[in-house]
Amino acid sequence: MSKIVRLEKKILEKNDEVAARLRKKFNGLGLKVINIMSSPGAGKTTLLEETIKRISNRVSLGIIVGDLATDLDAARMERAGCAAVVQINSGGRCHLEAAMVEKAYEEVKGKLDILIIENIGNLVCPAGFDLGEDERVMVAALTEGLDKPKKYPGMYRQCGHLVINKIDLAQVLNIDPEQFEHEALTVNPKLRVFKTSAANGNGLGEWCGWLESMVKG
Amino acid sequence: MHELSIAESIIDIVLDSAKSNSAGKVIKVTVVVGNCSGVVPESLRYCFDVIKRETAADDAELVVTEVSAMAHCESCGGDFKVGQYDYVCPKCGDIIMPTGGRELHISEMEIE
Repeated sequence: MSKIVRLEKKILEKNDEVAARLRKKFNGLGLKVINIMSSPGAGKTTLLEETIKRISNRVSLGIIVGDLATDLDAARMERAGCAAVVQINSGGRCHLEAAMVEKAYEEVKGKLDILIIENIGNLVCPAGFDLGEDERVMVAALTEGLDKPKKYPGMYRQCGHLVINKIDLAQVLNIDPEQFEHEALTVNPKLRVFKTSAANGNGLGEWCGWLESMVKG
Repeated sequence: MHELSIAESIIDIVLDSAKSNSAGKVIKVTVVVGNCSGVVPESLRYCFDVIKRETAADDAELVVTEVSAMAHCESCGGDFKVGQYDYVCPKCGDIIMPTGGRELHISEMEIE
């Protein structure tokens, strides 16, 4: 005899539970947490290197960096001057999960103002997993092309902030950063947009100013 | 391919529940997936069939019920169902933001 069991359970309840636990812990510590997501090669690591150089004398910054493999990114951010960097290797997983962040956070040294989680480069999967963050930031490179917001609306809609990076290449690409911003706002009108070049420093002042304002606020 | 993680979570919940219900076998699992959840039902079925092997859910069928996001247009007042890639109102063409469509839960399972 078979029987039906009503479950009505969230499939990601375990991840959500860990994320809620982390959020409570981070709030208690007065720590602001930012989950940064993008496609591979959008310039997350270069943006973070330049951010570290500009604000780490005023803001205590920690970084958890996710990659499929290697600790190349962690080494780059340590060289840029970040004392609290932890590398997560997802071993092929296309996104970070809250339990990975909880484990990595145990290795983060010192009292921090801001913890940045650099997610795996992927425009689909990371959006589905809460990591206990306060803010979700997406980094999009101008090189990706104007069609990407409409092709990956899920990621654009799950973020509150967008950094349009590599604006120094606008002329070569013949893509206007303003038009990219317009395309992004078409799928999510609520996005706050920063336009940057991590390569030459343009626009980084406003981006770093926002990060610092999170600590003061 | 985060459907693999999703399938693992489904199997964990199903096996826990099967155990607490003293079930020998899971026959069917019904899940609800929103059309903006980023989960592709076909991939989920494929991953489920891999993860379920050699468990009490070895023969279980996965039934995926898809639900649609909704949108309300501020300009013309219309309410309508939207797909993941819709971003303008079908009536007046103004920009809309979908609500819902991110559902991801197990509604029930059949055991014996």
